[in-house]
Amino acid sequence: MRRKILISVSCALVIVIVIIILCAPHEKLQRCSLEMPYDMLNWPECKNLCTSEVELTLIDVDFEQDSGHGHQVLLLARQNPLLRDIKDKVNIHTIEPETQDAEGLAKAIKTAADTCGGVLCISLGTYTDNEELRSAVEYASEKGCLILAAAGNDAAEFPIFPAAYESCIAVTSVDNEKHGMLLNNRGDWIDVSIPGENLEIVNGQKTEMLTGTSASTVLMACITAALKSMETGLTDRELRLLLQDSCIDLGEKGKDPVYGYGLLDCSKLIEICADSV
Amino acid sequence: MEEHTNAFRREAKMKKIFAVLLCVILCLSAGRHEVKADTDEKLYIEGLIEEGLNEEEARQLYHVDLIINQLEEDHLTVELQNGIYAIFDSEGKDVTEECVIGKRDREFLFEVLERSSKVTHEMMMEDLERQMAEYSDRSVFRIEYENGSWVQVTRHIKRNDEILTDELIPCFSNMTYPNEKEIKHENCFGDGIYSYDYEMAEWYGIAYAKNLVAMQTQISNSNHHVRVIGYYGGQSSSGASITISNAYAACTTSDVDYYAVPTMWCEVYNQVVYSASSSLGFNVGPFSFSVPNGNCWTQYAILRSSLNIFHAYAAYYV
Repeated sequence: MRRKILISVSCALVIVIVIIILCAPHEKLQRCSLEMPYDMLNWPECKNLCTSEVELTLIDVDFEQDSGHGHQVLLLARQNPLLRDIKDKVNIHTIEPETQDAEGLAKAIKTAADTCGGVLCISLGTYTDNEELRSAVEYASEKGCLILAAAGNDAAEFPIFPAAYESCIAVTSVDNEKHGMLLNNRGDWIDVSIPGENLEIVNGQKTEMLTGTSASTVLMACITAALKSMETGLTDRELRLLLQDSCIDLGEKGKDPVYGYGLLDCSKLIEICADSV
Repeated sequence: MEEHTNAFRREAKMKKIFAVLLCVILCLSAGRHEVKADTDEKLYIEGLIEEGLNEEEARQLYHVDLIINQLEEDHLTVELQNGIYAIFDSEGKDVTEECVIGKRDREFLFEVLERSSKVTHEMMMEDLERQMAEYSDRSVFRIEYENGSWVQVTRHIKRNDEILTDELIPCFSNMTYPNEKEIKHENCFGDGIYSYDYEMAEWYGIAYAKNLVAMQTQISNSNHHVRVIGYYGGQSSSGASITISNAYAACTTSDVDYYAVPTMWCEVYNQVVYSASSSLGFNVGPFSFSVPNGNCWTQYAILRSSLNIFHAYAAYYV
């Protein structure tokens, strides 16, 4: 009888211990407490996982002008809280296309792939499907670059390039209520939704709020840079597959033209990557 | 004697067969009515669910409808007197106890009316206006109230024509400075054809209504022009508590030069005139404060567009 009781108590203890272990928060991945809209991303503490230096190249226009699009993109990349703890690991570069057309952008992408590599953040687009631009993106991808491109804000339902190319991750934005924004472009080429409403930057003496898919792409580029820094050896195809498992589905069930796979859940994404390190 | 007995037996047997047959026929026909009623209810509820209500709301509306229809047929009116709901006939006599509406149905109707009157149509419109002004970038708005009423608005914009230019387009939609009115629209509305739609659905607990409007514009930045090239309106309502008396879509301003007259926007609207049921007294239900029984109110769904941005909103007039 006493033996039976002992066995039951032991079993109960084992079950309790297993439950406690399963329910205990992952030591490596505590959730960061960030202000809105960053809070929606579920960004985890991952400083210890980011071990190697990584290159992040912003391809844009008007980096030198105070109110230029490129200047604001650069400030957002530098000031957003996602990279706060791993600033020393991420080297940010800027490249401006020589001409403001698809061919100019193609050259800029090739230059970025040859000189910097790493993560390419393209907050620009053209509605022309240009052969040179397509092959520049493929070239950069083959060289191991991860290419993120903005989906655009023209309320259009036709593709913008390079975002719509297969080797690019097309980033769209959601507002602070996780709704797609009115002027977002839409299409089955959209991959992932990232917060993109009123992202604050300090530009000289002014505080500015950035809204749109350019802003979302910068955040996605920062997240991708952190992943790269974990030395996961992730290719763009693998990242795309990971996105499917790491997004909170929004809108129509499954991948849809407004939200792609949905809103990225960084804690899920980084947890999967951390396991593969 | 034996002949008589046999005849009596035969007659009794026939009666039995006839009775059984009668029972079977009655059962079958009763069953048929029940099946038909079930089918009607099922179809009605499925239709409402397709419109946007959930099953509980659809069932509630079905039940309310049956009662309101009966009240209208018998020329009866529900009134609130000294805080108590009662049913009156056309001569103003309290017929709550003796009217055809059973006790359980009465209690159900009074409870639904009490609950639904906590949020008036007026309150819904004010809350919606406030929220739409606060979150101008959002495409879906839904306000749900504690009493179960809700209002939902969806608005979309879509570019229809292809952009053929090879220029690089930066992808910020706007940049604002906090606490300043200034909004820079970097690349909103390039030259092209855009379509807009706006739909408002309201659930009052005793009725459901929908109003929508859509338009298409051609935008030409070079001559600061916005031109309406097409529009349409649509509406629906469910529930005997309200009916649509009149509806039409119209375009008030079809052609504007934004920089010549910046305050003038292209505008189209869908106008729907709703009537409240004559069986709902002036002080019961969600329309009570602004719409007396049997009277009408006009609901508008409006779309406006300028070169920089578009607005979609609701308005109503008693």
